[in-house]
Amino acid sequence: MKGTTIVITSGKGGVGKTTTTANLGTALAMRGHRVVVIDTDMGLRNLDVIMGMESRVVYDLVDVVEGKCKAHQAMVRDRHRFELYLIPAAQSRDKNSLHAEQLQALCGELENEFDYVIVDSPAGIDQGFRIAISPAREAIVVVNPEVAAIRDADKVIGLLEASGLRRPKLIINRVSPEMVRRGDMMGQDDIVSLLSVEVLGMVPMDERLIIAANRGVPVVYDRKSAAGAAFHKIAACMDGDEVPIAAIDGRSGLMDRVKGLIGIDRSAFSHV
Amino acid sequence: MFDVMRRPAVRDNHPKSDARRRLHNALTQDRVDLAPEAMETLRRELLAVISRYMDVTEGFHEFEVRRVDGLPMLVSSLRVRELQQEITLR
Repeated sequence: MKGTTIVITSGKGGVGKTTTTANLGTALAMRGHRVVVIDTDMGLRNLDVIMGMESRVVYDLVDVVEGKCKAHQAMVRDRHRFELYLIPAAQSRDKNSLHAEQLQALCGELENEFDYVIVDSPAGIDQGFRIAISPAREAIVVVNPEVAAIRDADKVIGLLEASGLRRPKLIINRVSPEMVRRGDMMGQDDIVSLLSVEVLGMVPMDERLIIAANRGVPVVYDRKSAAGAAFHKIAACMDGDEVPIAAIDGRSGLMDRVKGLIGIDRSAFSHV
Repeated sequence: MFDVMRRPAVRDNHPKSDARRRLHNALTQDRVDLAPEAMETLRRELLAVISRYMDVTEGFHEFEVRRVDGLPMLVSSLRVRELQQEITLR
């Protein structure tokens, strides 16, 4: 079976692309998929530290595309022994060291072996972005519920659609359910009416996410984390499970938590 | 400015409504490269033309550039006053 290449992008920097890539990749692997995540942010490599793999990096993406090593030699495997691998960005090379055709060829090859090839795009809409989206069959746009991120997301959605990636999906990150409830923060409905795209999921603001990043352990391993639970839900959605997005509009309650505990989350954690 | 902003669902006294209103203008401008003033002029001129043929005193219910199936579309809807035939008959 052939896998799918998905690009995670946003336009604006700092909205949580890398965190989303790390957590979705991990959550999908916990569900039994074979997953490889690729950092394409040349010179600003971060996915390795977020995933706690930085000390085991030997080769990088540019080494692979330039033929200095095999793809497998550059892959760093997840410590928890899931079928989860990282291909790190080149830290000492610039954005001109990767070409769209090279990344397309690599992802095409990886699709034969992995269920999900997840490409973490650099911020912005220039060359690095265009290269990162070039191999993708699907796109996920990460946005925060604030004006600058939404405006940039709209621009990115337009560019994705113009380059043939129709119907990109949205992940709304760093939502404060309490602020949404008070009318101090835009909620899912507001953002959907502005951007006219499908929402894949909402991730709440969560201090545990900062702690997880400090430790280099994706927050989906943290059973108490609301953000972690949200990423598990999104992964379940991507798998085609019927999972309500609700949970975060401030009205969520017991039922969602119960479902989280007995459903997806337990199966996801049973390997740990 | 645009009638669409006065939808009942959006309560104007909330900070998020400011964000929504401002983004609505910015995104329209970004999508069609048309300044808000030009958009407003377009709206007024269209209304003037249509009002030569029918009663449209309530103005546009909706007037915005929205993405439909991946393409930017100018979406507008206009309430047309019904003919007062019943009253005439009586």
